[in-house]
Formats: sequence, C-alpha cells, structure tokens
Amino acid sequence: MKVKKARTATIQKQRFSLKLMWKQRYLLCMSVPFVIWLIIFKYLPLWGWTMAFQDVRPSTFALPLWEREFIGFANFTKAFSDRLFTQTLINTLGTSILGIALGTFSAILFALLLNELRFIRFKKITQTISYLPHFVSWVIVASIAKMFLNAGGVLDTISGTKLNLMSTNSMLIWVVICFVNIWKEVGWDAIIYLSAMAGIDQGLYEAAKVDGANRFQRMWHITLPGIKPTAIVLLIMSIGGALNVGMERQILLSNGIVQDHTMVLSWFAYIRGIGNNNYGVGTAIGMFQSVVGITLLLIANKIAGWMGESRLV
Amino acid sequence: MKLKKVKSLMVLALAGCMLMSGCGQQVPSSSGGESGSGTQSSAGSPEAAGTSSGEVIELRYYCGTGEENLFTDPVAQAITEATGVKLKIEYSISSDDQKIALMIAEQDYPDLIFTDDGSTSLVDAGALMDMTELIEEYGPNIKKFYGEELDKLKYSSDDPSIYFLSSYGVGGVSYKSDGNMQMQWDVLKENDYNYPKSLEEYENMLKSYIAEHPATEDGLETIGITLSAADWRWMITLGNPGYFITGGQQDNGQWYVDENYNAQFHFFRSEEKEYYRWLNKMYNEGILDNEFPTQTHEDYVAKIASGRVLSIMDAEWDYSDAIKILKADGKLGKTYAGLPFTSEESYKCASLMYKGLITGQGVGISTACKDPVAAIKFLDFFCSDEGQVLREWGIEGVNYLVDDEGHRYRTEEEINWEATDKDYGKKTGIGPYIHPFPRYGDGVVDSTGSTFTRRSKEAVIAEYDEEQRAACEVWNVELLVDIFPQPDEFDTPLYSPSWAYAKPAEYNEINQQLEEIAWSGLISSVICSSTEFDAKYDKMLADLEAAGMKEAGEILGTIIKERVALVE
Amino acid sequence: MRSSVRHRKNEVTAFDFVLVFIFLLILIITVYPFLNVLAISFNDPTDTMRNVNLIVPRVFTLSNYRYIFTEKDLMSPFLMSVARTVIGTLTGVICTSMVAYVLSRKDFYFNRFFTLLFVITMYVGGGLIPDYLLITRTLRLGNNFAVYILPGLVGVFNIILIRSFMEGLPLSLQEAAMIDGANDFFIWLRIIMPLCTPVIATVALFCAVGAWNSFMDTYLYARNLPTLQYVLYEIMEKATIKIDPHAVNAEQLRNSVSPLSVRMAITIVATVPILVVYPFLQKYFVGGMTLGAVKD
Repeated sequence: MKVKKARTATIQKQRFSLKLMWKQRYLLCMSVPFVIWLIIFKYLPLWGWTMAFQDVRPSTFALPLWEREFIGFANFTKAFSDRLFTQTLINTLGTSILGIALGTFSAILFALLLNELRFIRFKKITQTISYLPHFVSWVIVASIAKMFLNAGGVLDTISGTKLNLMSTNSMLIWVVICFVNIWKEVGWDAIIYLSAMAGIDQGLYEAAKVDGANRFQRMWHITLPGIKPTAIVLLIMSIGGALNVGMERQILLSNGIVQDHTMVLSWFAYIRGIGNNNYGVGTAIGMFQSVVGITLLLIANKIAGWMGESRLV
Repeated sequence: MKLKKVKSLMVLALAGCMLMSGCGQQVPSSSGGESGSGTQSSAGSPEAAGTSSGEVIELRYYCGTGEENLFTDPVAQAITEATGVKLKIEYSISSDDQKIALMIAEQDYPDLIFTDDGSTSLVDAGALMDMTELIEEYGPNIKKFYGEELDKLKYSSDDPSIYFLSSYGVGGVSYKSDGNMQMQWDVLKENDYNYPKSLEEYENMLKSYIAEHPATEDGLETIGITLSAADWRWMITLGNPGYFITGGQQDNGQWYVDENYNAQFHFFRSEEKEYYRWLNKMYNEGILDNEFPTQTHEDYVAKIASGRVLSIMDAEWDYSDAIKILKADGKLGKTYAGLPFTSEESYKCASLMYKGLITGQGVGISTACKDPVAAIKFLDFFCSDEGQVLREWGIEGVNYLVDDEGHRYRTEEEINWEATDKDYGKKTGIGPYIHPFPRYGDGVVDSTGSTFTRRSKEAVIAEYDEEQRAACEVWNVELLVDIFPQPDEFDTPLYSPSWAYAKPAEYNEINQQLEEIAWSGLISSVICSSTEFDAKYDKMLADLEAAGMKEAGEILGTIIKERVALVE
Repeated sequence: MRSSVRHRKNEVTAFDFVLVFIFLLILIITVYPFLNVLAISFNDPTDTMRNVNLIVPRVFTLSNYRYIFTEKDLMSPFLMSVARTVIGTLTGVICTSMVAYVLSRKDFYFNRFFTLLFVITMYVGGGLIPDYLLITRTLRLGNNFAVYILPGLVGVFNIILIRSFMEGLPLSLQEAAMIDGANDFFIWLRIIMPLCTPVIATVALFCAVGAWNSFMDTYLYARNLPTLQYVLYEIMEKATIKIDPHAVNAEQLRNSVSPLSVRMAITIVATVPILVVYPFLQKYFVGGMTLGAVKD
C-alpha cells in the first residue's frame, strides 16, 4: 500500500506582477528580512575570495584589495601541482563517499530499529545514551579509538591476532575512520530520522495492520517511504559537502604510517595555507572545495528531480 | 501554541536581546588584565629607569604562550616601581590559533610582542620596530647583557635591524643533561655502571638484561627501547638521535650544514644510514618496541611509568610525568640516566656544547607602541643585574636572603613552598617573568659570586636521589654531567642554531614537505624487513631530493652564511 | 472497527527481543567512551597516567573538578551560556521555521531563487578573516551580546529539515484555511507550526546544543562576555602543556595538573546540562504522534 503525497503536483510558472507581489506580501515579509541577513552575513564576506587570486602574505595582508599583487590562477596551480594534492583528493573523496553511504545507512537503520522498539522506557533510555558520544569531543574519542584499534590494543587482544587496523598504509584507514565516526555520531544523526518517523501518520500503521501487513512490511512500505523525502534531502546536502570532510578527526586518528591516506583537503588547505602563512593558497583551495561542492550539489539535486524524488532546490 | 503565548515569547526574546546588548558593554571582563590608567609619560627623558612624571604607564604585551596574569604579584609591583611600567598581558588560548594573523589583519598591535613562531609574519607585516638605535641610546644594560652576541640579534644581512631580543638564556652551562640516550639505572648497574660506547655494546647490554629479566616484578614484558613517534615528537625521538648519536653537533633541526655551508637533510650522512639500519635490526629483533609508530603519547608515558622500558631517547620534559610516577612507586632503579652515547668512540656527544645564543624568537617592540622609550627602558631593566635577580629570586628578605659573604640563598621553607605549590609562580611573581624575556643561562654569576638563576651546581647536587649519588661515587664525579664531553672541548660555532631563525616563505613551504617525507620515510625504513631497508631508505632520500631539498638547502646555507658575516 | 480492536493488542514477538538484544549491545558500545570519560574525571591524575583504560575510578578523587571550579568563577559564564542558549534557540527556531514555511510554499514566486540563495551558503565561506572583519569592523558587534544571536540566527540545514517536514503535511489544511481568508502568517503560526512539533523539537535541540557548545565566537568576538564553554576551554588549554620541541627551560611544566584528567572533567561539566534538559525534548520525537486532525 503506497501512500502518495498530493504535493508532487506541478506548479504553474507564474508571471511576475505587482498584483502577485501584493498577494504574496506576507510571504515576502516573512522571508525578505532573512534574505538580507543572509546577504550581510554570508555573501558579503565572500570578498575574501579575492585572496585566492592574489599573493597574500602577512606582509601584504593589510593592504587594501587593489594594491595587492594579482596573480591570476597561480595559487590554484600551485595547490593542484602539490606533491600531495592528488592523493589528498582521492582520500577526501574516498572518505566522503564511504562516510555518506555508510553513515546514512546506519543512521536510518538505527532509527528504524529504535522506532520499532516496543518498550517505551527502554527506548527512551537507549536513545538518550546513544547520542552521548556525540558530545564527547573528537580528541577524547580519538584517543579511545586508538586505544582499541592500535596494534596491541584492546581489539587485538580480544581477537588474538594482529589486526593492524591503524598501521596499514592503505584505504583500510578510511574504513576505520568511517566506523569510528559512525560510533560517535549514529545516535545523534538518527534523531533527524526519528523525528521524521514521528511525523508519519499513525493511522497508516493501523490501516496496514488491519490489512494484514507484518512488522517488516509495515517498515518497508510505511516507515521508509515516510522518511524518504527527509533522507533524500539530507543525502543531497551531504553530497554537496563531500569535499569538506573535516580535518579534526583525520588529524587525531592519523599517525606516521597511515598519513598518506588520512590527508584530506581541509587539512591540506590548512597546512599549505595558514600553516605556511600563504593565505592566497589556503583561500584558493577553499574556493575549489566550495565550487566543486556546489556543482555536486546541483547535479545530485537534478538527479533526484529526474527520479521523481523531492528535490532540495 | 496559542498565538498570545507565542507573541509574548517573541516579545520576551526581543526584550532579552535588547537588554543584553545594552548590558554587553558593562559586563566586567573576567579574562585579560585590568585597564590601568593609561596616562602618557613624557617620553624622551633619558633617565635610567622610571618616567620623569612618576606616573605609571601601561604597555600592552602579547605573549603567545602564556597565562592569564594581572601583573599584581609582588615581583610585578617591584618591576612597576623600578620602571614605571605596568604590563597588560594578553595571551593566546591555544597554540594553533590565528591571533597573529588577526592582529595583522586588524593592524591592532600591542606595545610589546613575544613573537614565538610568528616572527616572520610580523616582520614582513612591518609590525615590529627596529630597536638598534633605542638600544644604543637607552639600553646600556641590554648591550652589556648580550655583549659580543648582540650582533646575532640582527635579522638578516638585507635587513640588519634588531626586531626582537632573544628568549633564550645567554651564556651559562648545563648542570643537567639528557644526553643522547637514556638508560635505566638498573641496566647500568648490571653492567657495573659501564655505559655503552658503541651501538654493539648498547645492543648487547639490552639483550643480556632482557635475557636475565624478561619481565618486571609486575609481570609486564620488558621492552628494550621505545619511542614516541606518532606525532611531531618523531623529530625528538627518531630524527635527532640519528644525528647526535653519530656525532652531529650544531643543532640545525633536520639539516646538516658542513663547513662550506652546504646544507642537506642530515639523513643523507652515511653514518646515519647505518644507525637507522641498526634501528631497523632492533625493530625486527623485537628489542625496539613494535608499537612505537602508532602508540599514543599516553601509552608511551604509561609504558615508561610501569618501569618496563630499559632505554629511551627523549627530552626529559616529555616523559617527566612518568618519572614522577616511578618515584612515587619507589622504583628509583627504573628511572633513567642521561648518557653521552655515541655510535662510535670517536664521536663526541654535543649535549653540553654551547651552541650560541638562540635567536629568532623574543620580545620586540611594535610599531604601534606610542612610547617606545619607556618600552626599551623596561626591557633594559630586565637586562640589568637587578632585573635578573628580581625575576629569578624575588624580593630580598621575602623570598631570599643574603649571607655574610654576599651570596644569595633561599630558605628550605621557600624551596619547599615552590616544590609543592603549583601556584607559587602566581603568588610570588617568581617564574612568570623569566621566559621569554632576556635572561642569563644557568651558572652565570654576578658580582657577588651568586648565580643569577636559582639553579646552581650545589642546588643540583643537593637534589640528587640515591641512584644518582651512587653513580657519582662510582664514576668519581661531582655532577653526573661531568662524564660528558665538557663545553671547552668544542669550538663555539660561528652561527647559532638555525632551527630558530626566521626563514622566508619559499623555504618554509619546501621544508614542510621535506619533514613530511622524512617522517613517514624513516618510519617505513625502520619497520620494514631488513632486506627492504636499503630500498626504503634510499627511496626516502630520493623523495627528499625530488621535493626540492636542494633549493631549500641553498636558502638555508645562504642565511647561515649571512649570519656568520654579521658576527665577524 | 471491531477487527482493529483485536489487532491493537500488540503481541510481543521474538523480533522484539532481538531488538532489545541488539540495542543492549549498542548501548554498551556507545556508553563505554562516556563511562571512560566519567571514570577518568573522577580518578587521580597520576594513577590515570599508568593506564588510561578504566571504567570505574581506581583512585577516586574530586581534585579534577575542584581544579576546574576554583580556577575561575563559573557561575556568571554559566548564566551567560544559559542566556545565549535560551534566547538564541527561541529566536533561531522562530526565524528558521518562518523561512522554512515560505520556502515550502511552491506557489511563492521567489521560491527557487531564495532556496538556491540559502543553500549555496552552506558550502561557501569567505574564511575567518573576512568574517572577523565584518563582525568587528563593519558591524561593530564586538563584545555585544547580539553577536551571540545574530550571526547564527538562521541555520540553512535546519531550514531544509523543517521545510521537508512541512512539505509532508497535507495541503488540504492550508487550502481550507486560505479559503477561509487566513493570511500566510496566520497559517504558518496557528496551523502549520502546531503540526511540526517533532521537527521543531529537533531543530530546537540542534540550536540549543550548538549555542551551548560554541566557544569560538566568544574567543574571537566577545571575550568580555564569556560563556561556560569558553571558560572551560581556557582552563583546559591552560592545563595543556604547550611544548616547544627545543625548550630548554621547562619550568612551567613542573607543577601541572594532568591535562587529560582535566579535559575529561571539563567534558562532563559541559555535557551534564544538556543531558538534564534533553529528556524534556525527547518526548516530542520518540513515541510517535497522531495527527488526529487530518483525514486523508
């Protein structure tokens, strides 16, 4: 039994007219102030992007924009031809894709199972405890993770073999980082899906039960479709952020052996940019991340649209 | 939600906002210094100390690595009395914040800045003032303090200004040293206190001890050597030993600079390759802890604290926590002796060598300072004998006493107070104003024959524990470091350690990559099988060259040559 | 319906027990790091150094907490944190949901354009320096309470969340109200919002936690209005040893409190308030809700 929402009807493209603006005046009042806010706080600072095209060092920093040396795309070429760039890009994409896929999957699964839990009190306690790791800072989570996963650590001791999880210089470390991240965040990420599930009309479940659907069928046909819009939207947003995968966890979980595979773009931008007092390069890499991110976002959005799913934009 | 309720909530929120905005300016600051009365003194009056009008002026002082300090302790007050200056101390919270960058962006400089690692940026941004003339006119003590080494404070040959003083000790000797390698007393005792003079001996000592004592009393496996190399500490435990154990002398970080000022990463030296080959062998035989590349620093310290690690190659401040635990557990025999270990007898351990005044970091006066004369006189006071004693010893009659021969000494009470109270520095003012201002090294004496610092030979000997005293007896020396090659056995290098120099961006960019390569290269060379060693090590060398080492080396070599020229 | 009465009995199946078992496992795994943090915070720092793996304090002590509470006054920063969290959350939720509603209306002329404008900002940023200059120089919000509210007023991620939820609500409700002559504001406030409780609670939680945990803005812009997190961060950084690899003078290090233990205690102090508040919000999205008003 599928439940279709009436909202997917196509909207006629309206023609601009003052009459229309007047008709929608409330909507305008409710949104325009915030658009202004947006422009001030988010778009104005983008003048900083000009730094990507200039040679910006501490010595030239205080100069006004037009007096700084304009070097075109030199910063970009410098970043792209860096010894580490290609590997960093691969690491970033690899970690992202893995993270998005596994992260979304596990959060949904977690929420799904939790939603099915019958004993309310146990459910509440479990949910509260499950997001505790979210509040523990990465510094601590990383040190605990290392304790478990290092050679000679707890996991090795329990399993009786040398798993070399943190000492194999390969893509394995992406998987490790991904799992540590899930461990830390799954409870928290599930909250969104849980709240989406809470918004599903309970009447649907009743009706399904009457029709003889069992537990799994109800999950498959009601719950999952019920959260699909949310899930798709979240997925699109995550894809947009693919290149921005953070640096804190990479830095903390890295060591001398695996560093070839833990370097990601944000970290790279940091050490080659600010770390070298070269703000131009740092900004250039950041700009690269943003531009690619948005492109990916728009592509994902379009695909979702073609597939008939809800779109982000 | 009832409409009324929402409306009232919104009104509340708005009201709250406005209230808070209004309140914003009046909430007292709980961090940062008090704002003193910032009256200007009449600048330019050439008095030795203090301002002519007798008013106190306030100088903003930014200290990269510092603590909150209201400048109200007794020593601070004495300083203010003598110089007419009160410091408003600003500091950064974390080590990797961008305070310096923001400072430059805002063009908002404090009056005095301790540059730490932001010196290049600050100089490039024109934030610091050239102090040469100020020192000439108002800084007699500064001149006397640095003496011949004053020229080393010049920035470069292109720009021989003096932008900042040095934050490291001038002159002095070391009464303590970690040497090139540290070994447990118990292991030394088994060998009749003979310490190893070659890699072979070292290896054999470890092996025979392990054979005799495969586990500690607590049942933990004995480990021959362990290193902390999972982060930047690799430079200390993995990189440096290779250099110093094979006779390296001047501390140039990862570089080796020969007499003709050609610079290469020191791993290119053939002696070092052999050292790392030996280390690789130790790893494969299990003498070197196999967990060393991945273990966290906490694990490393815990291992040492358990007493199972026979030897390490580290700096004392890195594992001092572990020593505290060992001592608390009464396991003195498991604490370590710093040894002048070298891989061959012909090499000399350079731990005690005077490497020259370390320049490249220090306190400078910013271009935004409105009263540079007061500032320079302030710094001048710090360089005077009086200023030195005040900051190190405190107030006469309160923190220390003078005996009949004019020597300074501290009471037992005072010494105990310092050892047990972690707020000693805050309460007395002894300690906070030493680093990073100019100071003498240990052992330098003043006119009364007392040392400037609180660390004197007698004090060090008095602090020795049983093990250390026993060793002194067997070796027939007064100080443990007497077994080291003494400072007079070395020539003073013509240039001070280059790791501290401010270097241009082109160099830094390459150097960063070189260090990355070296780190992973060394680790992979050490942990691979012995047949792969040559291939891995040579690959690292090749990668280093490919990453532009020659270029960086030339820049470094040129800088060093210029420095030498400045001094000659 | 009579048959539904029979089904409503909700028999407990084997699957339920499997679930319980799975979640018990998950509980143990996720609670472990927290227990570890708790244990270390109550453990003597020197003892902790011997071995960091503990779940129960071996050598119980309150010294870590004592250190935190005596280092600095925590009360006024605490109040400041509460103020910014409460006000920030209120304003944030209201503004965000307002925008979300507008963007959920497909008939709104500027819908796509505005949505794009908002969404793009999630992936672009001028960087620290332009932000800093904007807030301190251009807007002069330095050390002004408004700096805790204004810059974070609207979170685009949250807008999208709320919008998705709103889009899932049946149109009929709105259409009915519009026919009755209600204006958009009224529809948003009295019809849509009450139905959005789960997602509003979620967003409120996100805003609150975000506001509670942030310290970077205090650090950069409002040192005179310290929040709890900022003060805790200060304490922690102070206790952490900053080491210059070539440091010859190790005086500062002699009497340090173990930074690890302090860090753990700080984590607990910072997190406990959230744990206390959370159960009140939890009921909104665990347990489900019935939308009695809607007959689809």
